[in-house]
Amino acid sequence: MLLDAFHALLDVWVLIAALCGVAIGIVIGAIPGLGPTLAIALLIPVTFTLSPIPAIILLLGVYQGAIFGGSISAILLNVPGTPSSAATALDGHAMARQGRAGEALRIALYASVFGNVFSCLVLILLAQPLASLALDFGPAQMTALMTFALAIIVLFGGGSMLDAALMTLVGVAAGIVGLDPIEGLPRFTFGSFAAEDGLALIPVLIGLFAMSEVLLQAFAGRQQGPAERGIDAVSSQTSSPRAVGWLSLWKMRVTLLISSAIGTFVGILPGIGSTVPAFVSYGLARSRSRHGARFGHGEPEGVAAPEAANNAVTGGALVPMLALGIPGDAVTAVILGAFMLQGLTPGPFLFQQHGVEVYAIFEALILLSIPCILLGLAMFRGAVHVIRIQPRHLFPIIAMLAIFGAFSVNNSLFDVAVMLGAGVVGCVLRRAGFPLPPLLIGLILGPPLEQSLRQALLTSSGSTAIFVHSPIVMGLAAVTLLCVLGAAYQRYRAARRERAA
Amino acid sequence: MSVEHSTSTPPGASRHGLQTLVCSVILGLAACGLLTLQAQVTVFDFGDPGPDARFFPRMVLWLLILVAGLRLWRYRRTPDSALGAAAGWARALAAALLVTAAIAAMNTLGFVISVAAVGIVLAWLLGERRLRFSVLLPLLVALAIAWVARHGLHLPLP
Repeated sequence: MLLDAFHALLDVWVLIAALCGVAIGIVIGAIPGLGPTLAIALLIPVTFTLSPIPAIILLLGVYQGAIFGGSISAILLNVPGTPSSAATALDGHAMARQGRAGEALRIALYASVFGNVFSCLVLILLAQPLASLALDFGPAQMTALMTFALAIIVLFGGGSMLDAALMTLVGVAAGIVGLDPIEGLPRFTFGSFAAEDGLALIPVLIGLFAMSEVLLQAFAGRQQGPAERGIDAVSSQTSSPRAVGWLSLWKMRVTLLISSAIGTFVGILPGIGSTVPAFVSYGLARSRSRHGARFGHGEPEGVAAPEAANNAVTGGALVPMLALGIPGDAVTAVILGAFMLQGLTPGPFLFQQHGVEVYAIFEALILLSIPCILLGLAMFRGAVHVIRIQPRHLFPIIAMLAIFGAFSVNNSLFDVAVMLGAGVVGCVLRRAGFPLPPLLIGLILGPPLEQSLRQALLTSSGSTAIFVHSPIVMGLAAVTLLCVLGAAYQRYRAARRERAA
Repeated sequence: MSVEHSTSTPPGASRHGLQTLVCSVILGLAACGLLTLQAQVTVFDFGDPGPDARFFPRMVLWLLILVAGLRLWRYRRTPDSALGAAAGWARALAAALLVTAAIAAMNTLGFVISVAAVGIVLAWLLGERRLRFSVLLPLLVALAIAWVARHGLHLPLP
């Protein structure tokens, strides 16, 4: 299987997709305010004419490139290109101010690649066994699994649990629109024929992440671009970097390993994203280091730890997405949509039906490290110019691409209207400070959750005993309960600490 | 639409702001959904055991009402995020209306003109006044998208 998968990679389109994906990802990740989710959502229409392997590699290349690209603006400008790069900015920008921008960027690049390769190896080891295990799951077990995933998003997604619960339920409620999954009856379609297919995932994604950003920019009006905020102070130092030898990376090996393990583990849990593991790894690296006092003042380990962690999330988040069809975060939710468009429905049957494609994608994920290093090194200086692009030039183009992207899914103007509606909703929710990833994951998991729940109740003639008599369901319920108790205890401790302070 | 801050709340926050408004709208929509459930979901009962097509929406909408109500009650005394400047909302509304108009006119005017118009007006809304960036750039991008769609992706555009 592995050899067949490798043969599938020997295609010029795979190489082109990998190079283009990583390059686009680095450029978009470097621009503050844009990120992998927006980039992937806008690029999905480009993949329509590609075969599944290059199409998915293009999007995964963007994912990997964008996570690293986020560290470029974090280091050079102290403006994280992606939220997960905020921890990198602490020491990365301090190094840049000391004239070590090149060194910081190289450490970020190598740590990113290390984290990515580590998590991809874990993905290869875990995904298939997990999918095989899930093959034994019936509707009752799938209901419990999806309830567990939604509970994790609400409990540990960060911010207020009530806000996350509200957004998850809004997403689940939005998934109700359209034909009912069991009997095929229209629900909340208001007589519209076009609405019977429900809210198409890709237009909603583009609306939530691209159009909402455009509307937020319109709300903010003319803003100062990064170029006007003093980029020149540090950008010139990227051209005269200090070499980062293998020895200095070898000295950080434990930090890199621990950070990658944290990133991978947190990536596997749904809804947490890459910001939390980046800060956890940074904190752990500081507490473990003999030079803890230097953290925040330009310590290379302070760049390596968050970068390894936030890149390791990439492979980790793909584990539940590929094996169970449960997206770990907003980016994997978008990638899940791309998989479905390519006819590769993530879930337990994916490995049985499309084993070669899946393993080719796994191998490509590891091999993507090569273009990531080459293009990363080549694009340091170019990225400085990319960061200078003004929002007033960029966002009209994003709006135009968003309209095209939404239209191209089904050649339907109804989908463009759905995209705009999702954009308006996303803009208002983001202005109000509500988190969007729980909404998106609720929208994705809502229909299969309903299907599993109703199938389970139909097979048991409406009796809930089907849940109680299953050890897997009871086990998952116990884990969910433990998570609830853990989250409650965590909140109680935080509140007590706050009161004491 | 601008918010006047009371002395007890920090700048940029108000007692009843955007979060309260959003929560109230969600609560209202969920209640409307429950009230119209019978009309919006027609169920043909053949005496099957187990839940019907209204079961899951009813459960989700009740949960939504419960959580939205709980959130409104829990944060009733917490300073809320301010609504924001009326000019900002007007610009965002103008951008949304612009895209709506483009969708409505796309079948008549065609993809390139509608989408280029969105880009041009949006660039102007975002403060770009130079012709090459506010007119030429969106026009070129619209043409490029149309060319790639027709010749690269073989998509029939309006």
